Amino acid sequence: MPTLLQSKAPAISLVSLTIRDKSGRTRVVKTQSEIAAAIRIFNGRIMSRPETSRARPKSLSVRKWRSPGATTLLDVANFGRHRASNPASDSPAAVSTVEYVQSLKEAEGGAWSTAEFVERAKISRQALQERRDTFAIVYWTDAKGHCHYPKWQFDSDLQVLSHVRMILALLHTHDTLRVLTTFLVPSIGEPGTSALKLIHAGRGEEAVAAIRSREDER
Amino acid sequence: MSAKTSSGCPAPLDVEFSVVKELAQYVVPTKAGHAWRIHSHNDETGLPFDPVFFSEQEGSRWDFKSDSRLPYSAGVLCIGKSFEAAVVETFSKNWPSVLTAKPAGAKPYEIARVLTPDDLTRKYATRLDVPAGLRLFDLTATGAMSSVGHGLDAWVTATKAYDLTRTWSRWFFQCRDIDGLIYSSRPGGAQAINYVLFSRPGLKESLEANAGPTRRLGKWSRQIRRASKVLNFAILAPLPPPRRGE
Repeated sequence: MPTLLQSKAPAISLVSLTIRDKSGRTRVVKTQSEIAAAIRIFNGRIMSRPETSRARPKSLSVRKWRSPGATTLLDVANFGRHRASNPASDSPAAVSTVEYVQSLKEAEGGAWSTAEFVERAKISRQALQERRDTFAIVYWTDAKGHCHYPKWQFDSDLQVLSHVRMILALLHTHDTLRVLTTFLVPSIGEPGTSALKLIHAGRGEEAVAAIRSREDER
Repeated sequence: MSAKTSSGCPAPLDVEFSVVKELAQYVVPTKAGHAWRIHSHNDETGLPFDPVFFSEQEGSRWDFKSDSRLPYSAGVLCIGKSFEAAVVETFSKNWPSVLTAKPAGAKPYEIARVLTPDDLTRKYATRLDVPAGLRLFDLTATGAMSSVGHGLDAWVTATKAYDLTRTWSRWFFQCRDIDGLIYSSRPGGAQAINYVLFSRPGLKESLEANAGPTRRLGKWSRQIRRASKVLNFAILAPLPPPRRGE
């Protein structure tokens, strides 16, 4: 499966790292260059050659973040990889993919966890799983695989909006990032308008038509 | 000269292309070379759609439906002169429509370009050999659009009023002196030169006979890495699958 290849990262959001090196010593690295080097070394096992093997850490833990969204080791790895191959940062597209994904997750009021949603909607976890499996509800997963359900897809009775369901059926995918970007990225109609905005403005048919047109492309 | 529509794009008049003598200087014969087509996954067959597909679906800027007044059966094939051009032409419609400056308070998804895991696995890329000698009207050439007259300008490659751009495409299509158009993608600029090839006798067969291998987009790793730098997009890593019991 392809993973992150590159992006344009802004200032690094990691403040410090605790690393354990080969000899078992634990130390905290705080400077940006040390942090970047540690991340590169850590990632060396996955994709790139470490710049130095002298201080190759055996493990790496997150001590403190400025970004509330980036809290997992996976995020560290992704962030490091993407930063390492990142030549420029002055473009509008220059955002960390961690920040990007987090903004998708937190959009329009955030999301309910499975436990929260089961409690609110009075449905079983099994029924919820069935909705996920049949592309009938928007969800995303955190690093541990826990599911979350964006609040923006529901009406006041916690039913998935009909136009949201129609678009989900068109997309027919478990790539939850594709689902989130399809609804949230302002790429439909007049500049700055997203499928979700159209749906919330009572123009759901337009949103469905635009997505259908994209999906029909050969 | 026709009045501009509210979208800014003029509608063509009932004048044949060949009547406007100045246009000949903008018709460029192709040299034999490569071009790229990015195409989709067919859920029904589980296979990619045919890379050589002359569309009449009215799904994009240039394709329009056939009718009996046309000299040939309709159908247009849009291909990128480069891999980057094909990427931007395929995915730019999914990218934010405003990419100028970061507005205060904008979320990253409102400004950044990304490809998702699906894009790499459910889209395919095929390298096509463009035959030499196709006559393409170069809309990117300075003065080409204004020579057409009727108020045609860069709007035809920028507007999202596709009903009008399709009437222009149809207008060009009817001319037996040209086999297609050269244009640059709206968000890609000079880096994203594309060809619109009109359905002409023998062209489909020629392209199919010389098509390169079709691979999932993610498998063209060297090309996609380069494109991500040139076009400034990021590729998102997939989120983990739901854990059991969720």
